[in-house]
Amino acid sequence: MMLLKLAWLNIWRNKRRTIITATSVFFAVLLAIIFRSLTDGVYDNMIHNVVSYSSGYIQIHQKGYWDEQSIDNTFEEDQQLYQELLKNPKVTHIMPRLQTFALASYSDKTKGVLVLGIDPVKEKEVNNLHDKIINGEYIESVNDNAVVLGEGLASQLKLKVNDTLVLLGQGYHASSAAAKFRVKGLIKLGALELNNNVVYMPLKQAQYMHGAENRLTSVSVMLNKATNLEKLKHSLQESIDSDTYEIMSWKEMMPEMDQFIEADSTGHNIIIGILYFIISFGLFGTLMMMIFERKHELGILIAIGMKKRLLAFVLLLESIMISLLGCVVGIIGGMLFVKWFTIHPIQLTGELKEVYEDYGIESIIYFSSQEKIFIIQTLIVLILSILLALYPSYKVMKLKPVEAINS
Amino acid sequence: MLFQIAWRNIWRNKARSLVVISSIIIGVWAGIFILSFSWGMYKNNIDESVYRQLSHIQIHHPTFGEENDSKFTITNTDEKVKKFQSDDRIASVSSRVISTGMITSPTTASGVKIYGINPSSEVTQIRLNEYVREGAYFDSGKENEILVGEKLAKKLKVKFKSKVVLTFTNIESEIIAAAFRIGGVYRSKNISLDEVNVYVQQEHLQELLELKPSESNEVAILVKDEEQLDSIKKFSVGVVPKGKIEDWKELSPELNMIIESFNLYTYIISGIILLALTFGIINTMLMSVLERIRELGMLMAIGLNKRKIFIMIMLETFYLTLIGTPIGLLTGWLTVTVLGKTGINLSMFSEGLASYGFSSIIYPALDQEKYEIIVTMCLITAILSAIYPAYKALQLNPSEAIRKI
Repeated sequence: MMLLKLAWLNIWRNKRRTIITATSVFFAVLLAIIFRSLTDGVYDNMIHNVVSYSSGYIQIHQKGYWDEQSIDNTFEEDQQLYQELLKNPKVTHIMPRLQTFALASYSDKTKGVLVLGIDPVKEKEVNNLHDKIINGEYIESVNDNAVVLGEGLASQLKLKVNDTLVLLGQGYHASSAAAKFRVKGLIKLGALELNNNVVYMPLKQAQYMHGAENRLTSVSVMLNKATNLEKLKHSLQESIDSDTYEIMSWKEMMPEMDQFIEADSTGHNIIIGILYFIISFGLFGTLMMMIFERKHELGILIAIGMKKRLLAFVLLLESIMISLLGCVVGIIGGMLFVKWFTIHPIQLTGELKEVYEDYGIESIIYFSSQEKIFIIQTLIVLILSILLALYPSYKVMKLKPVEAINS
Repeated sequence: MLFQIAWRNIWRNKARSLVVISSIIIGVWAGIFILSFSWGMYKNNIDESVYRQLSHIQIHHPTFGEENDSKFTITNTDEKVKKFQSDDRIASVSSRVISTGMITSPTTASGVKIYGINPSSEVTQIRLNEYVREGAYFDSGKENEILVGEKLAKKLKVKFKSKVVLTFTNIESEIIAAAFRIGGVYRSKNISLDEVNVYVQQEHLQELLELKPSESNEVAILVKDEEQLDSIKKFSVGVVPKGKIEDWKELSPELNMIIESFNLYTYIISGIILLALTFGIINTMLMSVLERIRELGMLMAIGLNKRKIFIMIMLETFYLTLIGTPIGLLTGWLTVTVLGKTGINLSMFSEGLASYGFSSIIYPALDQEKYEIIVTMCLITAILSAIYPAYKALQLNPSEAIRKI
């Protein structure tokens, strides 16, 4: 207790030195947080945009659907399931869908297409589908008797707005599904695969065409960008009937994207490792200077009978206190920084903006605000600084009092 | 005179000087390493697409790209391919017949892009044979052999030697269905393409499509030296005057996005690193100035004016930087050269990647221009970060400074 008090008094005896060291720690924490938050933010933004067009963060299917994606593995629309899902505060939107594969024909052209039966209103809240229309109009409600086509698909079929598209596919329980629809609009999507293949159809029409009234292939769940996916998946899993439904995250449904991100973020881990290295060196420099400056003082303390071991301990305590101080201020600074740029995001400009928008990705630099970043980065810096603080203690153990006093 | 004082000052307290020098060395080294590493990472992505998928140049019939119909062909392909092969700037050429259609297994169906290839020429082109996991790369001698992706095979629930049916339209717009036997299952690094691309023998596909044996839809060219890309593009116009000639940048706008993003984030990341370096140096220099209060006060008292003190401290930093930079440059260059040869295997650092069976080896590389930029930036950073401590020294009051311990 005495030592604790001694350390506390010591660090405030020379405010200037304490502030310099604490500032080092502060910047270390701040920079580490900004770095991680930036790199993770880029992925979060990318994932968010990709999943909002495709699977959603989490999808719920009839059990067995994923292994055999046939219309026979659909489930009855269930309001209770919706309520159960929306009850979770992290869930922002749910999108019921009926997704099938069919042949689309116009005049003498035929092509295999992806038919997405959607709820147009819910869908546009999530991914602003209506903004991507380049010709004609967006479908208004689940009952609208018209479809919207990917622009690439339309040009392959040589078809324009208000032409009639014939669809032929497999219906529920081996019935055949055939129907014709007026093309209400053409949509330009960033993902080439979708742009060249997709037919958006109001959900009710899709169900009617396939003879699958009230049935869905999936319910996509959208979350806040910074949600812990695995945890949420588990909590959702418990709230729904696991005998009838299977629940999958985008990582399971799109392993190639997860793999790409994993590879890229491994690269970033190496870079952040170097950042830690530079940070530790800056900190080390400061600590080394401190021990120089105080050689005289420490020599006297030992001369008047302070045990070296205890003195080393006091120095360690001082370092820990200073590091803690720096970490606390750093974490607050990091939070403010991230918060500020979440509210006022940096807009990309120039060519990059166009490329991003072509892909349907918001052209902003987004900073991730997952708590885990703050905690992990602060802990890493704290541990680094405590490890480094062992150096002054080590120096003290080797200090020769007589030389130190004379220096 | 000042030059000498400054020079002696930095060697009077070796430990302190070494800390600053090391900070600079690490700064320069880290700058070089990070840029070369990210460049290597991005280059890895591009090479993967160019060498294993797109090739440097692709030539099609002008309307093939829009209509995706096999009837838009390049005629007399063999002759043209020979012409390309005789040019020694070109590493590899191959021609392909392409059709889109549906693949059907006993359980389900899926949309596919059917490539009719010359198995032997793709060995040097996209090196498809290296990706074969199960079965073999076109060695049965039967004409109805097909190579499918692992992901597609899983989706269709088929295995090596299973039978599948391909349905597509020929050039007369008649629907054709043909049975194939799976001769091999491949897995490339681009799993989403594995699900749609299937490969069959070119001659067999030509027959089914009713194309002439000399017709094909795509000619792909790999060049030896990327700097000659433009001249080879011009040369191609002479060989295939009516064709649409595109290089990989035009073929894949996604790669463009990777390049643009890379540039942006590299700048941000380098900025953060330099900032960290700056604080390291400022702190050490500040400490060193404040530690020497008494000494500086004494110098002032015996008549060294403030301007000279300022210059002296700046000179000290300058010397330290001058010593640190070349060493940093050398270590950085060595690291890049050594790792550029051996490569860094990313999957060593990530369990997640290893579990995907993903091995991606990154070869750091950096051009001379970037070295120069890094060195200049570090020099500027180091000098700038000395200004504040030197300015602090200016504010000393000699009589007070001497009395301080």
